[in-house]
Amino acid sequence: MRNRDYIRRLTVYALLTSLSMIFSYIESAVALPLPVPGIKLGLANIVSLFLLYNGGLAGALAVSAARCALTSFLFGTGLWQLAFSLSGAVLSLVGMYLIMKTGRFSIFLISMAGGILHNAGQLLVAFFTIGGAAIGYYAPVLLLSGAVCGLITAACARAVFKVYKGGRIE
Amino acid sequence: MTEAEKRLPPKREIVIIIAVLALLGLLAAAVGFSGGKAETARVLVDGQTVKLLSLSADCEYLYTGSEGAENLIVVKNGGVSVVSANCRDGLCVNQGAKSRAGQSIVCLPHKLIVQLEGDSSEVDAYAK
Repeated sequence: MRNRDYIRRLTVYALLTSLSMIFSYIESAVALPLPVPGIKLGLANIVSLFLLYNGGLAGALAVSAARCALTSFLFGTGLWQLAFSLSGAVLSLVGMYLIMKTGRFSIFLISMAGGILHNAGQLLVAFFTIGGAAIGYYAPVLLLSGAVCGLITAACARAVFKVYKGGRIE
Repeated sequence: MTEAEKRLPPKREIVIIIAVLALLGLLAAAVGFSGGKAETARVLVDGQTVKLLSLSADCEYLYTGSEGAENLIVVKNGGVSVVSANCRDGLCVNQGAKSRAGQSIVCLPHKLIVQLEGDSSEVDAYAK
């Protein structure tokens, strides 16, 4: 019985990893023609929210880390991009988990905080690797876009929750 | 999944959400419209200045880095833009022309920043 649970969890995590990789790939293939670099919807956040609510922090971190590693080396620029995406993912997941644990906020506020933290994590890496002034100029716009995209992905995740009947993944 | 977790944001949260969006929006607008006309463009790679361009005269600068990285930076009519680049995403080209001090064009794959500055004193120091 234990073994069966393990295989089920492994399969679900693998499926969700590939789903979030597809989301990431679509976003990197369709670059938005915006005057600010680095703005994207963050559709993979739907998978993260789903796992935070239905699995736990460990599963969400594992799937995110696997996605970051695979997409950075398959479709991206390698280690440099891995540092970027991982910093954003970890900061946003831990932050969303802590806010969720208080039990006082809806998925919209949690996801908005996650979007802001995701971009804040990336800005921090950019700040330490390519320098200060230019990054400061982009920070408000990127944090704002993180908030807006977080709200959009929250609405998507809520739609998924409404039809999902699979129970907890543990 | 409980009903509480699927709910729409309650009124209290909508206030927080709008406040956060307004604050960030104001901050973004404040940064976007600050700064006077830029006089020089500083090209930085990995945090190191590799070139200073004066915006008073039209010119071109082709940055060539390791592993064949190339960005063609063009100064025209007091503004600067990355006209072409062989980076993966081409986001630096999408950012268009910039002409205000404090603005910048970023090419993350090449770790390149074109930073616009208002003070021209450093160009003279560099030229000497």
